[in-house]
Amino acid sequence: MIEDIMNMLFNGILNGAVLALISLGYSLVYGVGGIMNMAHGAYFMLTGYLLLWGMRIFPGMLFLTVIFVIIIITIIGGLTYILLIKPLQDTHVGVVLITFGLAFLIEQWILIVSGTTSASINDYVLFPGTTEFLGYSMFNQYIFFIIASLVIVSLFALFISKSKLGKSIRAVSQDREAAVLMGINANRVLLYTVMISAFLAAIAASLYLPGAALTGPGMGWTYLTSSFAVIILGGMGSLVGSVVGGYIMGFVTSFTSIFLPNGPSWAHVVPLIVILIVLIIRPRGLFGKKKLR
Amino acid sequence: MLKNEIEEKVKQFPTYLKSWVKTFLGGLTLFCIISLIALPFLSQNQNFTHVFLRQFTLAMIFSIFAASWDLLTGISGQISFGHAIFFGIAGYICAYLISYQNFPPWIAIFIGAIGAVFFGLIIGIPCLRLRGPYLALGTLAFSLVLLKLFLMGSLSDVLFGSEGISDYRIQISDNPVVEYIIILMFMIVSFITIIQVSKSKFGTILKSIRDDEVSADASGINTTRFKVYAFMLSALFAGIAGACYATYVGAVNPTGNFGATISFYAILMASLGGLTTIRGSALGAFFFIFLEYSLIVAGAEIYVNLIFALILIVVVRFSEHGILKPILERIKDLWDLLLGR
Amino acid sequence: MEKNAKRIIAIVVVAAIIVGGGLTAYFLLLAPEAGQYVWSANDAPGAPAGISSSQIIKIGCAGDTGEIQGDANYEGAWFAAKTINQAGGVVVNGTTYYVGVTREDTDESNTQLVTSRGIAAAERLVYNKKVQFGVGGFRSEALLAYQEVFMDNKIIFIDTGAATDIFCDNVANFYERYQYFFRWMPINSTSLGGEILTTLAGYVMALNTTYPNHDVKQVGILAEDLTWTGSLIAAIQSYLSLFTNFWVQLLTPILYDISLDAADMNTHLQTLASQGCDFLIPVISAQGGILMMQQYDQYHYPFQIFGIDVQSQLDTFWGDSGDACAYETVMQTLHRTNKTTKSIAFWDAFRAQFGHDPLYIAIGAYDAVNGIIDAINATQSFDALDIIPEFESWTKSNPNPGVSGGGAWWPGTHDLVEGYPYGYTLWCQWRDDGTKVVVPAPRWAYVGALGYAIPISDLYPATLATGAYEVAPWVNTAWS
Repeated sequence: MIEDIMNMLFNGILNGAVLALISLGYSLVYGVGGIMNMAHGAYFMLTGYLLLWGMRIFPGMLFLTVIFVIIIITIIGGLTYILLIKPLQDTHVGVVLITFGLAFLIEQWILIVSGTTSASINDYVLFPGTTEFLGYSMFNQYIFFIIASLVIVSLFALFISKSKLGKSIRAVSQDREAAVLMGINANRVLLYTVMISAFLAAIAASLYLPGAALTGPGMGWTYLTSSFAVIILGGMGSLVGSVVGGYIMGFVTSFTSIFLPNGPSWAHVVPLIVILIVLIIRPRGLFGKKKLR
Repeated sequence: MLKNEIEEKVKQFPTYLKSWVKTFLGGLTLFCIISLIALPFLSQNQNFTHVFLRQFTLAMIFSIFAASWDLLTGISGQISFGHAIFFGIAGYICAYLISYQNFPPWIAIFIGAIGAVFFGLIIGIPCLRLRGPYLALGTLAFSLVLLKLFLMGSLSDVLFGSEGISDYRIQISDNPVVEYIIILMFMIVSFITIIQVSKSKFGTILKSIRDDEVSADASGINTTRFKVYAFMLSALFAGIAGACYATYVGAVNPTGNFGATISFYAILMASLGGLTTIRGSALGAFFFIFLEYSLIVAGAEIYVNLIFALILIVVVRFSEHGILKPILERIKDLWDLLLGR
Repeated sequence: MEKNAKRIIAIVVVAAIIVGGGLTAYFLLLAPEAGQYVWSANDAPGAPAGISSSQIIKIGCAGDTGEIQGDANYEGAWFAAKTINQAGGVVVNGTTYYVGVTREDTDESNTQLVTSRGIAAAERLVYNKKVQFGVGGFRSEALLAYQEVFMDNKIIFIDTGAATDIFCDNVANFYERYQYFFRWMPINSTSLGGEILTTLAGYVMALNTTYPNHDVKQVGILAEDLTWTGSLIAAIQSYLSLFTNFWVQLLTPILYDISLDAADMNTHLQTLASQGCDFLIPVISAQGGILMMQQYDQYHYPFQIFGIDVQSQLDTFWGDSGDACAYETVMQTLHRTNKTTKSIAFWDAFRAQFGHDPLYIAIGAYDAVNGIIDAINATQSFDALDIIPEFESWTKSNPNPGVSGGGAWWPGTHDLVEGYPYGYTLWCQWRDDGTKVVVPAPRWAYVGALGYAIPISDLYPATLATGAYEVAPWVNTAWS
């Protein structure tokens, strides 16, 4: 029993740490620009594949490859905004469609290059082996990832509340017109926001995937729908909400998996049902403030 | 009062039809319908009737589906990312009735569509509280839940599992020409109904809800009721398409009928053609299916989706209203030129 | 004036386009033989140039182009055609025929399956390319839909990749319609369950003698929650419940949602470990296997892995899993061993041709094409109704073995006969140096009349094994 509880807690935290990192950027972009970026999951997936290929081409240069890949993804995020999102900002459906098209394009490109088979980027495991705690053993890479995720989330919170860019981001997200009147270049702030979100997705992927695996080019959609679910739960545009929502989702998943009868096959259904219930009872989510159009 | 209105409309119909045919759009539509009816009788070549014509049938099924999405999203402004719910439910009901209850396909298709309407009601009511992107995500979550439930091996006794239902009797006719004509009739009726609805008073109310829900509410419209109606009406046509698709394929399975791809097909086709135009959905669907067909014939089958993604990006980026409007304008210019206007 | 000139030009251009379009459409689509695929020597590898379309035996491969399963199917059929053609083709009623293969993309490996694409592919094979035989199939739900196109046209279709029982049940129940369907490659799910369990029982018995200090007893199942795994697990469970009172105990099977990620896999493996699992039976066809092996390698769980993991059948799995799949034992149709006299020669020739090991589907397609040619040779006919009785005559008493054994089918269901020397799989184990060996397969089974389990004949003779079964060092530590 104690093992089951430990198991639930650890995997809940692990799941939550990934979801929190991915949804944070996603939610930020939504909060600032009202933009649903469907390519967000594709950034995550693309990071994984670039790492895999980078590792095969430059076997010895681990850190350089990671940094290089993260920079590439951030730039792709910026280009997505400049080339695709910005011209269509006024139409909700247009942005959704075009970013969906981009995600689909990236997925298909990888499919053509490497097929549907899955691969592992094991060689990036920085902390092999396991650590035992209360009779429960944990993979060191996962422990590292959880800590790193917490650190990044805290740094990010600090950045949003203290830095100049962070303050303008908050200003734009609270009242865009007022922020523009105050002399903030809203488009530039939005550009940085999309780049930051891509950066966070790339960081999440490069820390998490070495301990997981690339499960095929379609994996981006799984993480995209999970982060949808998380930000609905937490409230769209709310940063606290997406972190808390991420962990709640993680715990619901691992709880279902371990304690409910036939749980493993329901593990990804129950969270969606929770979302539907939340949507119906409290449509703006746990921490959502603004009434959205 | 309503009766009189209808009677009057019926009386005026012949004159209305005459003047409609004389307009540019009317003439073009009539021309397209006549060509579509004539098409299957042009050749007895098996490659034509069993391969090429079948692609037309598929495109027509997806036209109905995309138009139903356009009715809900373009006309009424209720963004749905889970339109496969209605498509899949109707397909499953239809396949179940034919395969397990020996229903004739005709009746099964109609019962399937009615089942979809019922689902429209069930989903419409809770989703009324949601707006914009929340509604989009809510419907997406709904369709994913259904997909996963239908996929579960442990529920396969009830929901048929990952392999779904397959039976050679799940078909409208084994003659592709007959199938083509029947689906064409479905398509014509569906399009006339959807276009008339969007032009009617009911359609105007839906558009007013889309444009400004608060003022629609303030001017005494029961927005809730009309949104549910929109959901049900859209589900009806999505259901017809879904049931026809089940008979076209001859089988149903969770991914093929409830998958997110199916929902996105509706979105892609409708927005390729042009949102809120309804007719654009047909153009989008035909464009999509025949692009795929020609790429496969050209031997570029693995690039189909890649090229399609590129086209989608280009169309959405550079042509806000899809491809229907620009194409119609060009044809009209050409027409005027030919007539010397 | 200028306006009129423009108008005339426009009318001429439009007329030209309409006439041109009409003519193109006529010649491409409408004319009696328009658009039909023309078979030529290019489709018949190894055949002399300049042979005519009527000299080609037309075989259509249905699979997903660009994915390992579909490519394997085509490779197997193509390679068989090349071998046959280079040996001089086949003589029917005095005319020499050569084997031609073609492929269409059914898109069935796509996780986001679009069923109508498979249908369209089958229709092109049948109506456009006019194939005489179909070979292929992998995803059950896709094949279920598009096999009907072949059945409608009374064309023999040989399944080389889908394992679900339903196909052969159809043959048994609606013979008139489905008699054209044969399954040559995977053994059906239920029989696979039996093979897994009896061999596992054999190993549990042997290991209990090797490790007197540990009771090797608990068996866990980790499977995708899909229909094909359902019947397999049901078979395992029904057998295991008989063993339970003696020495094998079944833990609650874990049936997971196929869209799982690393945290989910971690949850499941930890659950199994905390329940004291000694043997884990994976029943996995998709990406779950790689997650499982990666975590098994890191955590050094104290259980042995012994079951089905489709991706692990490929030689590339060692690299793909990041060298993490050591000590995994998986079912595999063929490896480089003397399953039949042709096996090793085929294995080496295939590797020389394509540079990688053949996937089970490739072996199935190779045997299928060879079988078709054998039947044509024997009956001197291309008529399905002549060839079906010939196929049906290949029973246990009159087998026609290919490179993977087989050669015998049940006449009533057209399903591969299970059991040595007909249809059986090999058990292959990964070594920690990245090689894969065939391990022996001792078996025990429960005998109802006796009321207890006894050793029965091995799944295959020990001479086929190329190495001994190894227990992972960390499991060894935990058990001794």
